[in-house]
Amino acid sequence: MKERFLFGYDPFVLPFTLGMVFIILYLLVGTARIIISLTNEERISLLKSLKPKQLFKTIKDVIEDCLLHIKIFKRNPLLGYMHFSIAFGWFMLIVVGHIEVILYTPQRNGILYYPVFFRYFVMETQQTLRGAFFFFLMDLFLLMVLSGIALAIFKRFRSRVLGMRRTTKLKIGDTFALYSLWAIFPLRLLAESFTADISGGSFLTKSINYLVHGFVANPDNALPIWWGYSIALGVFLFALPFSRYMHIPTEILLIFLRNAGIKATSFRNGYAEAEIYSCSRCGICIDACPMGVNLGDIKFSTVYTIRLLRKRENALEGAEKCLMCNKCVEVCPVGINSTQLKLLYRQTFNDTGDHDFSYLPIQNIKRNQEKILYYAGCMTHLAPAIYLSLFKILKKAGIEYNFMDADGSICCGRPLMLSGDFKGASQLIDKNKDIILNSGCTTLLLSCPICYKVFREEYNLQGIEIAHHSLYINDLLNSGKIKVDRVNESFVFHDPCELGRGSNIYDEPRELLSSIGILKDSPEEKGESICCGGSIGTLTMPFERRKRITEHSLSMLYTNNPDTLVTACPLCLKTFSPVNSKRTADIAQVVSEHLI
Amino acid sequence: MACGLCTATCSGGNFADVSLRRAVEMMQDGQEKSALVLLKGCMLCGKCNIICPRGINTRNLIRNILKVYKEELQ
Repeated sequence: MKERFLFGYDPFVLPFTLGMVFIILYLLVGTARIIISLTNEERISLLKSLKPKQLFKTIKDVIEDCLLHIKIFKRNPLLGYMHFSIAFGWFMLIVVGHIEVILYTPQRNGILYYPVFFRYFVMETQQTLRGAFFFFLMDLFLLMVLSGIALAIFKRFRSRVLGMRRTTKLKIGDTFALYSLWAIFPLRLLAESFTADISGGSFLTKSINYLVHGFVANPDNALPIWWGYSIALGVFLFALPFSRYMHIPTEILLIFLRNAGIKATSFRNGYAEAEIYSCSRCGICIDACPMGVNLGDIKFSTVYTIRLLRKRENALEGAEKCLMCNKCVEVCPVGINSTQLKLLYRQTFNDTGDHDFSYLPIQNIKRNQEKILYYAGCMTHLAPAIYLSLFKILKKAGIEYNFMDADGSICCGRPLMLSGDFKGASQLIDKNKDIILNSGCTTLLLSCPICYKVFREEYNLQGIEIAHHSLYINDLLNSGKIKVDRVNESFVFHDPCELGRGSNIYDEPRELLSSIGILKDSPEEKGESICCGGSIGTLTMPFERRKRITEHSLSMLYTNNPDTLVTACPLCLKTFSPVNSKRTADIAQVVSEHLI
Repeated sequence: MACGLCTATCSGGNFADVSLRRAVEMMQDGQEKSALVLLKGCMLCGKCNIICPRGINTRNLIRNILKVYKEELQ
């Protein structure tokens, strides 16, 4: 193998080289900007995370997420293969390209464009086994990328086959990047095929060369195709920062930051910026979003809100309409915590401190022997059947308790927090914390997942165990303090957003229900359960649209035709029961009815 | 229709003078200032939102009243 040209240069490499220089500079500046806007502690923890053990884990995550796309494979194998083949195939083309340069033309090592246009610059003087091996690899990976590109083109027109009902609408930058990306690899195939009789090739390029041999008797005729290939690369690299493909480089930085334990503290700068630029606008969140049942609301789904944030435009409408059910975070293949971004966005607009809670009484619960303090919360007071059933169970188990808010509750603060008013929420949190600490309890029992989440995450109640009633009853049953009847009733369990995705409790309520009756499953459950529509996360969604979400969620839950819909959240209960023609019950009600 | 379910169910109303029904009436009478006083203690818990028979987004209504008139009256 030796070089065809003395200087190893031809003007057609310019578009690619300029694009490459541009993108390297852009990425350096971007990375520096993100790291500068981190706080000192965050920078220190980023440095600390570069220790070998943690670094190994980070690199493993990068390979799994950015190259192999394991998360998308788990969602839909075909969609996963599409992403995997383009990312991994392209990466291997780059790696093997560099190996070729190092092995055959070491004097050119380090020249930016040489590995990319290697086959234009070399000629095969005699067939070598080593050359044939690398050419075979190159053709194999090129074929892999081409199969991915073919799938991508197919997906543009028939996305349903790849498991996506809707895909994202493109903007001008995306269009340039998308079409140039589609063009790169077919052009590369043609270009390498046209010169395959000089440079050598393998099963793909050599075969095509035989087919088109007549057209390119003069090797200079292949030059326009090489120009085309280089221009396609150049256009892609120049369009990259203005397109969704910016996620390719940014995601690597995001994984480093995330593994260092850094979290978003503003909706636009620092870590948030890395998150926003990592959004590949794949559109998986569009299908996941419960708002999607209302056609006009698709424009408020996460992917478009993030796009507005990225362009520094007003994203308030999407941020305030969002149900905060966290489903988009659950399904996001990049792992962007968009709910947190929206919350921070709300905070910048709504953290007004308009509210005044100085009127709240300093309640003193009498300190006594009872170690369990029960807090119903606002929503459970709307559905008293829940706490009455729970008290019946506690009585049966012989457990003494104290009812903290029998005379009306002070809100836990989560609703205010979700509206963005952190100042107001902290007043409520302080009030409740006083009461709880003064009571001398060791366990705080809750019925409402909304309260459960905020008590665990914001209250910092040291030494006090916080339990949701579904967990607590399940423990009582397992320890034999209560016994239940087995009946021939079938249930379906609706995972409340704040209990499931919010607090990662999926199995205990199901365990409890299956010890009473037959538990049926629904097509979208656990992490993918659909919000009931009653969420207090949304601020501006009108009643009619909420109702359509409720109906959609209900129809999914009733796929396998269960007798009773069971949930563990008073808000879900209140939302479902007016719409549901069959019975809706809380998990405590079901257990208390079947006590023996 | 001023049925008052929102006020009957109100968490804040248990402890102090918080009343959306009366606030709305006062707004209609042009007494925004006294309406604001009645809504200041709202904890935005959303109970009135669920209970409202007309499906009014009361939570957002309170938020907007607080936001708009706070700026206007100062």
